[in-house]
Amino acid sequence: MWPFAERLRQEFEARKDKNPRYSLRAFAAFLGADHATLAQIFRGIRRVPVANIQAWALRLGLVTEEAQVYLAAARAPDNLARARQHRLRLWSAEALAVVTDRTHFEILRLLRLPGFNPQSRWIAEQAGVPIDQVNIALQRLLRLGLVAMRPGEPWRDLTGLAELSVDSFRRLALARLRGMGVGLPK
Amino acid sequence: MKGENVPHPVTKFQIVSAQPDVTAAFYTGLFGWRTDADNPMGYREIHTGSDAGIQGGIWPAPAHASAFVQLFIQSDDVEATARKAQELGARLIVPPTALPEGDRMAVLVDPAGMAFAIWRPRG
Repeated sequence: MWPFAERLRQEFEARKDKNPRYSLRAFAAFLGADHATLAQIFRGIRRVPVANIQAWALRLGLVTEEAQVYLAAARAPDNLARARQHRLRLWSAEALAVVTDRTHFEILRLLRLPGFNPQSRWIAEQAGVPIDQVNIALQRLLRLGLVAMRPGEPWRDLTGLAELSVDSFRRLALARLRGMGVGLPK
Repeated sequence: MKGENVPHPVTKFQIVSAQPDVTAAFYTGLFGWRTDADNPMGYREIHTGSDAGIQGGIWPAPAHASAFVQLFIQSDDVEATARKAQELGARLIVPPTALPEGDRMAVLVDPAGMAFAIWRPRG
């Protein structure tokens, strides 16, 4: 149950303890609410409208500070929404990185050269980017299953692309991201 | 599973940071630790200067990522331990990988959402 709904329920129970005949309808009337709405709030199938919290808190005689806590809690996104936003933010950032950071493509391009040296430092020098950028891109390629670094083997390009181009890489990487279900909007 | 009855100690910590130089400067300044990135991956090894506790490292994170600390838990068989972790509900982030200097490592996220590494140091 939402925090303010729980507070309302406590108040209702306290009144019922004092007067067993005290009804939900009476409590709703006291708040200036519709009793069917209040019943749904108590069953947890409806949220207390944010616009009503302040007015109902005032009727209950809550101090302003306590009312503000319930208002803040009601305005904060719930866990599900927060998780969804987080996944979407991560996916967008990953997708943007794939689309805008050419380092991924450079790693794959260099990997196909006969003189490839499997060291981030060498790749950074060849690609002309900072070594941290190479390591971030390399980890992303590993995560997407586009590169493999296995014991006793040279690094392997797992793209399956006969001809590597920036566009073909982007298409493939974005498809992999989608396939990994990192919260992609459909 | 090979290594099932052998200990799996936490032998290293890794700070993952979108500002690895800032992180390195902060901790070396605060604790007198030393970092050394003179290796093929440019990996910032952390030397705490003490035999007590474990040593660590700093790994760069994408700009959007929050900083966090990863535990490196040692295993003789990274592949098998990573498989078992997945059976127990972990999600594989970086598949078992051989690093240029011979370490082996896999990164997973446990069922509660915490990222950790299974690794076998070279040698």
